[in-house]
Amino acid sequence: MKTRKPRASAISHLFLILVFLFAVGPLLLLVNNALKPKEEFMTKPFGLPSRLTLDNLTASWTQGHYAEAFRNSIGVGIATIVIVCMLGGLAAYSLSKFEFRGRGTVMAFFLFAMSVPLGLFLVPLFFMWQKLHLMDSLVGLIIIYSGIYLPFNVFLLRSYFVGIPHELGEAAKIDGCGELKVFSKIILPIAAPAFSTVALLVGLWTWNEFFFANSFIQSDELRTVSTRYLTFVGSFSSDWSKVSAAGLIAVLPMMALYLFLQRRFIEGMTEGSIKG
Amino acid sequence: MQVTANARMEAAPGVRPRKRKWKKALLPWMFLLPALLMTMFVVMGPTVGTLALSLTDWDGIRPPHFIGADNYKSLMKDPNFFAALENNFRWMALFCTIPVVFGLIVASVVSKAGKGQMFYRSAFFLPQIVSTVVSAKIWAWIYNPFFGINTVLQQWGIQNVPLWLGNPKIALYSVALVDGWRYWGFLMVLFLSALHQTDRALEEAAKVDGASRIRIFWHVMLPQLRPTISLILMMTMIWSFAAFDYVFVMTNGGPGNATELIGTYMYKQALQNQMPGYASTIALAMALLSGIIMALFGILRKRGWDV
Repeated sequence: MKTRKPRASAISHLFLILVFLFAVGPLLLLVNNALKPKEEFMTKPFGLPSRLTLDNLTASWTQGHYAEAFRNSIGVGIATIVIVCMLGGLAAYSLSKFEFRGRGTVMAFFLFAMSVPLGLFLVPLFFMWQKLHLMDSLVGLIIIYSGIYLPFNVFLLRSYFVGIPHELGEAAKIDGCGELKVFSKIILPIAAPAFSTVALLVGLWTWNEFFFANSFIQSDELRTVSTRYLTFVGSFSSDWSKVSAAGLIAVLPMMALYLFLQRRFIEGMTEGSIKG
Repeated sequence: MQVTANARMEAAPGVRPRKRKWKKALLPWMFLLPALLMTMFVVMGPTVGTLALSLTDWDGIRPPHFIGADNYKSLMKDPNFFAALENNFRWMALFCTIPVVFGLIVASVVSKAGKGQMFYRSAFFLPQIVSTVVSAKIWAWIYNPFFGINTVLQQWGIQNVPLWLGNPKIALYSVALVDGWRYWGFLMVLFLSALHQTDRALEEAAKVDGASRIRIFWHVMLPQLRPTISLILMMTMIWSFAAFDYVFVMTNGGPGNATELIGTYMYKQALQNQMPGYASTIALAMALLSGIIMALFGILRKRGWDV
């Protein structure tokens, strides 16, 4: 393909800068409000601060009980990532390497499960969780997250596994490896990039998820970051400096990850949606 | 039973063939079982439960009674449901046009931006990474009548600034703008990668023939993007019926029921008004609408519409 040096006119650059302000502006406002001294917030809400302060951030961190919330979110995130990678990896391996009757049905099953809107299973799930005493427990939340994120990631992993040559596994089998050993010793290391994409996406989703975390967890000490933020907003609703600082704390970890791994985030999220 | 090439290759001596065959058939299922059970437990089982619940008068506490199609009959007479449905259709009309066109225009400008492409792509995708609760709150602050954007507008001498979230006539559009702010960047990335796969030679040829930029876009680029556009439209339409997040956090359906969507209405009926049976009926209506959209696209594709 011929690579032509594109000529970008001044107008299109101006246009892109305006779009940039629209896309990123609200987040810059968040940072601005969080770092601005409280007394300046009322006098010039959109203006730049005369000095930067970390007071809002430290106050929100302690008053929002964020240390606890971070522990909960990280724990839930890691557990969900491990479960999704393990169960999803096994399922994807089966769907990519074996030919068996019913494979199409299983694929359709996962495809359907992937596109079911949460409203369609919310009500029975809610009452099921009450019966099983999984309500108000992080284990219950981990199970929900694993269940809803599995189907998408099965497809994501499968599309990667399909590209791994069959012969690699066959050679190992002749050397006496069982199917499970082939999977763990040969496929897993090759597919590490795919698993890291899964980990990244599941980590992002569990971190930002608020709906299940809000309806299925009631105890304050079990709240994850996004629902802690919601309760914080509820009790400090008039103090926008603190609310902004709390918001900044909640988004900062994912922003930092995104800064380094943009490509992986973007490709994982868009390609999955097209192939699925 | 299908016998695959590797099955034959692997038939090692010393094991009775019948037993091997069984093992062979079970193996794929052993790998699948954990994931299947998990998905069944959390998503598919409860989905079937919704079907059953929609035929009962369950209040969440006392044992449910079978009431046949009564819930469906009440749904057809429920003005609140139809008000919410109307909002969903408004939502769909908005999202199938503005973010799609905007995303396409920006993508075509970005695709010509040379070295800056990756930077712009990452920046425009960024709202997708921010948690809904936080971005909803930032925008609620921007919309706030006492220290939000309205104070600036008033300084500029604009009188009669609207109450963005308080005025029932515009509240839905204010929330849609926030969701659109998040959504369009995602579409932009899809368009951008589709644009990179278009045939550059065609574009060059049209340019040599003296076609204007707009004509090239309309007659050369757009036809090549048709599969992407129709996929995006289908995704957006299906997703419009399930829209929930931003309305739930920003207005919870209010003021009055100006921003009520099927999703928020269902949630209220299920967990606040103690009518899970009726809520299940609403959820099924929502799923049915998505199903109709999917079927429609399926039919068009079968008829050779290449959508």
